[in-house]
Amino acid sequence: MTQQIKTLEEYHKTYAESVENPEKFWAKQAETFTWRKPWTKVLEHEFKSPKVKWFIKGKLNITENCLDRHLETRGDQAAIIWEPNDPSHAYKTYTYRELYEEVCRCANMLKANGIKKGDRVCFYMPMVPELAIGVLACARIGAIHSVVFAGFSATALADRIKDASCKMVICSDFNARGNKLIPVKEVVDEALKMDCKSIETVIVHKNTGGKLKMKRNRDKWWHKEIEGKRKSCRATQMDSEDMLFILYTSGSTGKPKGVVHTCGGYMVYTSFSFRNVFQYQDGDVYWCTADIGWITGHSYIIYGPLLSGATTMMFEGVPTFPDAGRFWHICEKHRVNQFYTAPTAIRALMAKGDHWPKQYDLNSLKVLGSVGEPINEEAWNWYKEHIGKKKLPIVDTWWQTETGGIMISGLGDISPQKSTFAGLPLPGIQPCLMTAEGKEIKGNNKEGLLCIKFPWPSMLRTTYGDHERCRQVYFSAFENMYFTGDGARRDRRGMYRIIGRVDDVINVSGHRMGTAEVENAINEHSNVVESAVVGYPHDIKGQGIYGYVITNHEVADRSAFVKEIRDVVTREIGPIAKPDKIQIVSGLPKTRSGKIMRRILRKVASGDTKNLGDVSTLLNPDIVKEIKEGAKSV
Amino acid sequence: MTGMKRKILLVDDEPNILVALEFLMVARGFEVEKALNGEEALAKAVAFQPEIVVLDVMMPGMDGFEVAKLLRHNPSFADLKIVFLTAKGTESDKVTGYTQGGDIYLTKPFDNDQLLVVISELAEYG
Repeated sequence: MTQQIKTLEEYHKTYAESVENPEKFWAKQAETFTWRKPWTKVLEHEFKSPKVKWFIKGKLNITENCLDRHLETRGDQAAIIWEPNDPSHAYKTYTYRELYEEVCRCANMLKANGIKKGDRVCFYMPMVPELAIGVLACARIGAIHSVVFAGFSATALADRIKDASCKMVICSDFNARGNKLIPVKEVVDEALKMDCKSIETVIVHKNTGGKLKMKRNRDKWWHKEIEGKRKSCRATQMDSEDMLFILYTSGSTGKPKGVVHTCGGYMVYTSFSFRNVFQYQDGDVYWCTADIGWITGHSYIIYGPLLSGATTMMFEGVPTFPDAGRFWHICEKHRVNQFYTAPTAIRALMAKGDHWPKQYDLNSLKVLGSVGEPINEEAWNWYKEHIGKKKLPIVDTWWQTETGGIMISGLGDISPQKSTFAGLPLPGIQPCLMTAEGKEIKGNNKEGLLCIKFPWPSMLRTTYGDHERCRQVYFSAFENMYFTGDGARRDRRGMYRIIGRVDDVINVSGHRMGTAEVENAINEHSNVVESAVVGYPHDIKGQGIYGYVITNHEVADRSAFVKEIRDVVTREIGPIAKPDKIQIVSGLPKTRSGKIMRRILRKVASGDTKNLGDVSTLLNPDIVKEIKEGAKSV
Repeated sequence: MTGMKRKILLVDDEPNILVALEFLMVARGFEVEKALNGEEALAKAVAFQPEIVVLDVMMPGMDGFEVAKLLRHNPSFADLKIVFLTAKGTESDKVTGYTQGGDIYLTKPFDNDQLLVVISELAEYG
């Protein structure tokens, strides 16, 4: 196992060491894993192209580290505990041995269906154990998984399938979420009608049961295909830098990017960060409430915990079903020790009242975590008081799909914590603050643009099929730096506070939405000429989506029009991107060069219209008044 | 030395490293002052009057050798212990370090324990 830091003194020593000699430090961590062949060199990097390689020429299979190496010592220990949507249904436990056997059977099923090393397999599934099994089965045989969150629309799914030329889709029949039944397979059918030529096979896992159309020669049932498959499967030897997975994420412009992570570095960093941030001890039960459709689920439900021999929970449902006590009920039922969730969930549960957590015994909890966006002070206080009983540490983890693992965070109860601050960087992570002109801001008590100035093992290697985009988005803003897109403050003690995006990206319930992406979707409506989307403060979601829309002709029924816009966005991207507010306008404030002044739109959307700044330089200054007036009736 | 806290000035252009070094020194009972560059180091040295200065060499602007030289020109720093902590590791670098008035020359990557032992001994025995 990788090093687990136990004291603040050890943290600072380790940090200094990891910065003074990163290669020695990471080699020491990497040595604790099972490698088929050791690496010849720890690191090669340059941030210009960019080109980053860790553990060069090392050979391994990540599933041998997640599963095989634990069989002897913890074969009968629970690896995954799965809690179903409906609390009256039985939960399931997979021991490390059982999980190993299921992953091998699934891997053999994939092979029998023509999947080989390097093929891309798309997952479109709810939070069922088969999702974790399928993902690991891909990794077992060197296939590249691309998990698409099962709340995305058919169009969004089709875009992602096409971008990665996936050969197979693995999905469920239906998804049970709260008291809703979502027809997952139907969405896949619809997506595959959109020119997804690369797909040869669809494997359908029977989750809830129910009537379903199966396309001949394309659609196959999981339970039939896996029948009789052997419970062992030799793991394919992978190079450290072979692709492990693609995960799509939104950016400020255009279509989503397929962030690529590779085997060796990702393995080392997710386990190291998991063990240190959550201070996991043998016998603990760890629960991350995220969906595997996001990076948090990849790194901290599946890989990080399993690499560390932990017991990790998977939850199918939602925090408010059958009632707002569900999370706390599960914590009591499974004696959860580390609990990792999103501020948006905390805010939603906080709004339901303190009496919910009070009904349950939460004494097993040791560490509370937060992810997705910086947790606001009110939610932090509620989490600390009502869940943490004023004594538990809250690790407010800052990281991104691109970083692969947690970058800035408290470590259990070891390092200092302060509400609204992510805290100190993890060992090996070298954050810095930059001015817009590209100068590093050195002192403390300073604000700037957050960059990372040295590679870490789990950083993204490219964006799938478009390396130039990776360079442009992350490595071109500042020389020799990875640019995070976030602004941050460093306080006098060196702790970092994330201030928020500095580009046109909105964070809705912890999920990144590019404004351009939402605008493109809105513009699909036949009566829309142009639109502009901005974020505004939202009590539960953190940020809500506010859309300004110019129409072709007058709208007779406003509420019907708004519903149509929401439907279009749901169809193009998914319900998560639905605008909360729509304002019909006759024009948008633009500079003389034609650029939309989002700053003004953001202020109006936030209800902060007192000081809009100088608008006289606009191409159309009169429009501001109209927009201000119109906003009152939205 | 009893009663009074021993004073140490840490000079490095890497803020995250300074945070770590500061913690380690405070934990060993030092009173710490920090500087991010050569100019700041000189000003802090005058104002803070440390017994030991841990000095990075490669910094933008005035480098660590220059800082040491200027400190040694000032008789009030005659007893100051200067520890270079630097990635410049050649023999000629070391010679420069000692001729500019360094007492100890440690090269990065350094071993934390080694640094802490060196500092403790300096503080204890001079």
